[in-house]
Amino acid sequence: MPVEATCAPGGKQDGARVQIVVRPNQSLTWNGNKLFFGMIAGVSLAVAGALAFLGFWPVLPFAGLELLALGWALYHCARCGQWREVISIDGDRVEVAAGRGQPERRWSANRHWTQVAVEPPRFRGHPTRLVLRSAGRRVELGAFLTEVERRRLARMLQDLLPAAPTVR
Amino acid sequence: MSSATAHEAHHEEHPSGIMRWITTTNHKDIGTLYLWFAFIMLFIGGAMALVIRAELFQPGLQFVDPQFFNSMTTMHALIMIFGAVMPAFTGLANWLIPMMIGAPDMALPRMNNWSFWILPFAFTILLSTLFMEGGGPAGGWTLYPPLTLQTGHALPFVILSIHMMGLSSIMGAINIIATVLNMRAPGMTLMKMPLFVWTWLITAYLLIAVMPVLAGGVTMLLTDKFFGTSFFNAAGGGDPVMFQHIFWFFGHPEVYILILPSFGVISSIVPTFARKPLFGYSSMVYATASIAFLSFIVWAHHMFTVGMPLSGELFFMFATMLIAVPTGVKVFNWVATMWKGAMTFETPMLFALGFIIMFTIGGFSGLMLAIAPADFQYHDSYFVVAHFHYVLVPGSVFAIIAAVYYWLPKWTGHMYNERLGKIHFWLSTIFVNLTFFPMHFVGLAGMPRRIPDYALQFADYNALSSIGAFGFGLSQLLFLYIVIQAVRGGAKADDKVWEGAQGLEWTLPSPPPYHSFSTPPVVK
Repeated sequence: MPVEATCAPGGKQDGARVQIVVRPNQSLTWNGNKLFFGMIAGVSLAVAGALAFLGFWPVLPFAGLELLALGWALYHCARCGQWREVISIDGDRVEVAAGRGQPERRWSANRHWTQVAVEPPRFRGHPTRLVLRSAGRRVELGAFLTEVERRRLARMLQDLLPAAPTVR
Repeated sequence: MSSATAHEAHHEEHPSGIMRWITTTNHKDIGTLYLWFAFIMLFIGGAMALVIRAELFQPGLQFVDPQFFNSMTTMHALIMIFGAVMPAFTGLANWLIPMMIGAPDMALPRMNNWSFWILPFAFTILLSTLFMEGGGPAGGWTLYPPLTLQTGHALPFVILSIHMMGLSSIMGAINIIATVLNMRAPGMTLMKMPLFVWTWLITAYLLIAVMPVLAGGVTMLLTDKFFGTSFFNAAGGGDPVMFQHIFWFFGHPEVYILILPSFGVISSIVPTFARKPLFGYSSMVYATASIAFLSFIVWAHHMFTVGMPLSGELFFMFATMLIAVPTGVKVFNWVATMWKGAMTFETPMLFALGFIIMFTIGGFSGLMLAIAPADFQYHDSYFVVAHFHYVLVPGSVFAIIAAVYYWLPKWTGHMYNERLGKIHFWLSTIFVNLTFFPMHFVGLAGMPRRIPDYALQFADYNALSSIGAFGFGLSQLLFLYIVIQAVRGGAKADDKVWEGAQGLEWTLPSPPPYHSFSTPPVVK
């Protein structure tokens, strides 16, 4: 599941430290992507290398450029799949840390002054936006989730942040 | 389902009018663009075929001069291969792959937009060469030197357009690979993927593997012509036959690029109308992979007559014959799927059955051509023209038409006119056979391909072929009418349009929402 919530041992969700990790779906591991890339690069470079050896070298730069593009595409997808949004609720504080491997973006606010909002899309058929808002600042969460997953996350957050009125 | 491309979960504006289509990154919009583009190219390439068939209706020179006739054969092939069949399958992939694997969109939506919008420019450049000094390319789509180097001002433009088509194909292939590998719904393992997705994944692999070879080959033609190199110039120490090896190392996998997605389409349609699961799913996957592997080691069967060593001829002959094994597995599995099924014969099934029978005819004539000593007789004759047209027209084109009828109600939310669909099938089937079957006979009797005039003894069969070609061409206007009618309205289609249909795309509404899978799909 792309949304995983954990609660501190022995605690209840309304008072204890709660951590929710939101992540995109990724159907193949980075190693799987590398294996596929190796299978295709091996064939392509072997053919281009053989032709270059025979003197028909212009095939080689095209093969190289194409493999660079494929490698970038697979790396980009795998990198996007490593994105994590960690929502921590501890006492009075709500913290959101997002990034790959380490937090690249942080947002924090007072739990009692934080609103959960699911904003309707500007255009019909587009996805909604789930945001946390506090004191004029906002952070979007779970842009990569499906509607159902996003609304499930919103309900989970609304249960955990009950003090402020919820905006839909 | 959530997207691998977390940061491309686009919330951008959704423009309307022409800007919607120019700036769209939505897989359904881009799929629609590809399919309409392919349809337009089908008619342009088809019109060129009719010029050829009008000229060949009777012996002698009637309508066009030989140079223009050769331009028509060259352009017809380039347009049908790169402009009609490949974009049609890419359009189907764009529409269907995200829906089949439970993804909200393609992995790289902006790249998807670019890969489509290169095409209209590429084909405008290609078509513009017909108006250039020296005329369009006339050396055949295979661009063999030194003949093709005699092209007038058109040559660099043709090569530029081929590079652009290749770039578009590569970007499309990269997108499909990234999407299929990374964006499958939870539970959608590789061996649960619909065969259409499998066949496209393998097709994308082939595209990545061979497109640089074509790009390098045509670039060497360019440098030979304009920069004084001698890659293929015997006078400068080059080897013109090597171009043929390079071209066909691309060209034979290209044939499978044109047919493998058809296998995926047929493997989706036959179980639906036989109301049985596909027989031998795993063997279908392995057969597709085997065909792809074999496609790399059979290229020289296109050039048996260039003077290869006997051992080479034997190797390529037997390797080519081997392809019949995995292809036979596929045909067997389709027939076994139908065996004792509760069959009905709606239009997509009729086209699928037409595909199986007539593609098999093309396959058998391919086996005849694979026999090296016999190929010395058949080579460059109309028998070859008959063979590859049986594979590509009632093969690939019928599969595309079957796919359009099968998924059109899903795409538009409206049922097409079944009666007109069946009339379209019978007209197409009768005329396609009237066009291409007589070509076997004139080919075996010795009529060479790519000639505007011919000896009197070939006249009757050529007249039949020409009548068939005009009938087939006009029948496709009926197809256009049926598609437009379904787009504009008609009976409301259910979400699961066909009783026996299986797959995630049928769990979505008809038409599906702009963003597919707002709820995570359940993979059984």
